[in-house]
Amino acid sequence: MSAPDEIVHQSTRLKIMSALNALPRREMLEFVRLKAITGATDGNLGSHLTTLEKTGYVTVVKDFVGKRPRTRIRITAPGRRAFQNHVAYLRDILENEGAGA
Amino acid sequence: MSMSKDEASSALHDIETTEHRSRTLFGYSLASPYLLMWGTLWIVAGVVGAVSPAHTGISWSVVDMVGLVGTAYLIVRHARRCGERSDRIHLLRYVGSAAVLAAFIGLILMIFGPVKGGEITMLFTLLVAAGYAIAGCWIGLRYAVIGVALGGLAVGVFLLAPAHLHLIVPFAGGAALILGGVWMRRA
Repeated sequence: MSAPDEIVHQSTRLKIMSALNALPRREMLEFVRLKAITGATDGNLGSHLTTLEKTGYVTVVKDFVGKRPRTRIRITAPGRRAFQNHVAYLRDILENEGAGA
Repeated sequence: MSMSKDEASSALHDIETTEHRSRTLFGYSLASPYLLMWGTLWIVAGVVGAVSPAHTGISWSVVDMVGLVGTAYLIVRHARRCGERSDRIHLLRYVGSAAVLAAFIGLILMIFGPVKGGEITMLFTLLVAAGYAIAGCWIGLRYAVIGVALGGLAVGVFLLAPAHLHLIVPFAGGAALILGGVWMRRA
């Protein structure tokens, strides 16, 4: 059975990783769009992104478009693997329970 | 850490919903340049038609050619952006689809001909509108809204000002496509 990932497990971080995992490789998601998808507040999202970045699961890129600051986030290869392992763990729970019932 | 079956099921549901939303919004951002480009081209053709009605036909032919080449460019760019290994397959599919559509329109015009300029405008506009509305049924509500708006606009002009159809539809349709493109870009 796959093992749970303590970092990915938290509900907001799970949504962040889901949103990023759905994108093609190398594709980035803007902070504003990620906020809309996850339904998190600025502060909450920023805090969870810091946790994910420290773990090496996401990369946060900050730049400017003209004079406007822009923050974009991309899932890393280890992040994608960790997310996929966590999903496999969740599926295992359902399948094992189902087999036992 | 251990999870119950209900917690795991709820987490998987959250994942599925979030992934679907993320893919839909990403799809909107990919679709936006097509709408902006075709909307601009429709308006260009409308301007030429309004200034020089004798050149309406040729201006639409030129605009369509530019649009088809521009669409091919965007398809290749998007295939590369999405990390597709071969953009040739996408191009072949596009050329095949364009050929089917051209043959379909050509045959419709031949079977139901002779058709007037306004009727051709309506046929093209309703085809585009239907395409977006059908896409809306499958991949994202915003496509449906754009399709219904475009089709409704064309039918409205057809019923209320049929004599000015060839003048109004390119501008109104082009503006609807541009607005749709901006709306999708901001999604």
